[in-house]
Amino acid sequence: MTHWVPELLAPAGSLEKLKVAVSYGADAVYLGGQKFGLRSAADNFSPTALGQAVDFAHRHNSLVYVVLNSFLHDGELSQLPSFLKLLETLNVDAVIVSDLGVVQTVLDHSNLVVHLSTQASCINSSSARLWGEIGVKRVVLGREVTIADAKRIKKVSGLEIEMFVHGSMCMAYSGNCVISNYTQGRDSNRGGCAHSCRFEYSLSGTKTIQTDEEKKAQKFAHFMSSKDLQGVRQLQEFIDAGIDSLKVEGRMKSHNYAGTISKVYSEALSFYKSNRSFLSEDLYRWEEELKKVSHRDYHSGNLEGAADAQSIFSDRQHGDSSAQACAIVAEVGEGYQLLEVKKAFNLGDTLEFVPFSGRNLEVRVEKISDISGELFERSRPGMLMKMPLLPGVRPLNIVRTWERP
Amino acid sequence: MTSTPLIFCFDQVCDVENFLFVLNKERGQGRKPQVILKTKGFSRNGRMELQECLASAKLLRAQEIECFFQWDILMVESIFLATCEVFKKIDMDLFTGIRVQDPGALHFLKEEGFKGQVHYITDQGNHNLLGLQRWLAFWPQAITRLVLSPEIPSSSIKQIQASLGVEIEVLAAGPILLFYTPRHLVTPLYGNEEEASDHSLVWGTSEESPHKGFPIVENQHGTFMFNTKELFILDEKKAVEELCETSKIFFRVDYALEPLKRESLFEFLKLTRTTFTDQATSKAVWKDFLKGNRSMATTKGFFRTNKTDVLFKKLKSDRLKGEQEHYLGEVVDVKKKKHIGIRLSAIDEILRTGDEIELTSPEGNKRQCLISSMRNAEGQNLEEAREGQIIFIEHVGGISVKTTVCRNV
Repeated sequence: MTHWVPELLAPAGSLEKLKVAVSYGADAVYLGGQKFGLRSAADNFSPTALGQAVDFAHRHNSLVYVVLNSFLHDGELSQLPSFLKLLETLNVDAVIVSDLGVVQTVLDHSNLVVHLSTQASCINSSSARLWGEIGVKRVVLGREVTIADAKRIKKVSGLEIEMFVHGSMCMAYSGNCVISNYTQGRDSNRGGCAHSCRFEYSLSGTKTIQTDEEKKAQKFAHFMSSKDLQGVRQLQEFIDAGIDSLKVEGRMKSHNYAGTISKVYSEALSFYKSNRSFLSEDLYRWEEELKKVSHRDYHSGNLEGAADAQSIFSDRQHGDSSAQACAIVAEVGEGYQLLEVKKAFNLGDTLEFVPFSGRNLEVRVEKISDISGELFERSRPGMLMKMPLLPGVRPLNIVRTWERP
Repeated sequence: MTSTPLIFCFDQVCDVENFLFVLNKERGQGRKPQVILKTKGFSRNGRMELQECLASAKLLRAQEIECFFQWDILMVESIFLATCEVFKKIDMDLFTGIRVQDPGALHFLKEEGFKGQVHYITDQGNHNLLGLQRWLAFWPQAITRLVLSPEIPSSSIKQIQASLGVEIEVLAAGPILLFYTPRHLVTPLYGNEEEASDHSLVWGTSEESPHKGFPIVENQHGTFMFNTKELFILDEKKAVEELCETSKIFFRVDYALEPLKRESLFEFLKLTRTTFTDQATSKAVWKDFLKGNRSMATTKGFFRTNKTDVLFKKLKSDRLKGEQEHYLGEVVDVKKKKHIGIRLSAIDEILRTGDEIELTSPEGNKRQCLISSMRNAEGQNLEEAREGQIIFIEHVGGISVKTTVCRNV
């Protein structure tokens, strides 16, 4: 007997990342087209790539949601209907929208299912009911909502509920930050966020510092930067609350991120499916795996209660782990595998292969050669490295190594 | 005499008292401005207790001044439920209407059958006409005004004004809110998170931004950061006059961080009632006023134009700009004078010897070439290849890893 678990929804910044996320167990992926989303600098998907993405995902029983979560001005909104036609033709499973004008355009011009983006900051049951009356089928709740409140919102509104389970967090109510607009001339709600909340600020009780005393009282802090969300220990609560979908943030992040997070959460949810519990020794392993992707310090955010001072990340950079993604398995042939090297490693280093399911494999690098058989002491990013085939390794598997002290 | 239709926001009782004093001094010249009252419990930056607010509303009402209750906090479920309970006990007959921002509050008022006017605040996002029309359609009998985003330029405001059958309101003078979080970000730095104050103001500056001195307020609702410059558009004589051609516009004055003192308020009201001869005079007069009465510099914000999307093109590498209609895959290996390796990603696409391809490097360099031969990683010649395969062709100069490969048609 299997038990119900929520959908695992992973980010897909590119077609390759989509394939990685789906192969590692994501039930659904979300991605952006060339316009109307919030990640202007991401690869995003051309119409052709979109079609291929939907085709690949559907063949692997995964769903595809397309983000249309910009706050559009009139000129942009008029361009939307033709894109909606394309999405319908491609059999996209839903669109994620935050602007009411966009919601209405989708409803007027297509039969696409509408999910309300977290950008709309829907954070209470009354708000969810309003959006439901307008025609939204699912609400991606604001990250300020606890799981307990989400349960009530679901019950009262009758809508599907999606919550973030992992990834970077806006410190502000989503959609309520326009720092980039006024300081950089880039609309954060149309894809131009400059991440000003990650800067260090000096804070003072006076507008200008004039005395030594005032200077001494200044505080320097990354006071607006949030720690990253990690909800692997809250999975039971998500299930008990009947949350329909668990979302992972990070369309701009790496293959390693897309694959690792998808694998950990899908493994955990699969374990629950069979055992109706998360009481597994693997819980520690899952948490260790989550540390192997680039991240700020983890925190449970608002999942269990309002985030306090401990949720502030007091640094500028990601707290990278010593594990580094160094390659992706590009091809598997008769007795060999090709690694697409992303980060250099040396002879004698240990590589960790991450299969789509089950335990990781470790292997020492005995030989580094390219496809023509030329030998090297050290690999270089951008080369294809040929090595003997390891059992269970498949194309798109992630390969990691450890940073040397 | 023409007067600019104004609506003033007041956070504290003393501001209301000053306002009434000045109005009496003016002895009823022109149209009376409307007033918004902000309380601690319901408003982002309110500093009045509820009882003080109700008392102020009575005073304003006695002077026949239209007065609106501000409920603009965003609310998670538990806070929403508690706030609704308090709201039900308020005598709303003291007010001309209410102003809400959280869609949950709007839905609640509709369900409760609220009888007064409703101003719906759409100042975060909501930059298109269709969305604004849809908000109105949600409760057309009650929503009498939409409060627009300060990111909408005057030309678009005019179009919106012409298309909507209700009043609209724009921020005309006051601090611009940049950031709103429910988290308390300031008091923890001073070691007293447990004692989050009613209202604490600090100034923030980042070395990574050319802008210095962001006002940051923390109160029971969280932390709010404002722009380093206040918005001021009342000296945009031509645009303001054009917007005033209908009676459906209101200009909001919300000096929350630094309220106007009595003399300043008197002067301010006088200037808004004065017809200036031309744009230059208007600007000069207002410039003198601002210099003498405001400590923060001012900006026009996006009132004249909003081009916050033009930089997006620069954020993207050239490789990512094209539509890539005939995309086949990506270069994953380059060995000078030997080969380039291409990973084929396109589903249902078959690449054959004799096909022509176009390569576009991350820098935007383009090369076209004919596939005269291709082989796999084991060195075997291939006649055709498809998704998932890696193929190797003759080296092409000027091409690096991450080059996109498209069919040249």
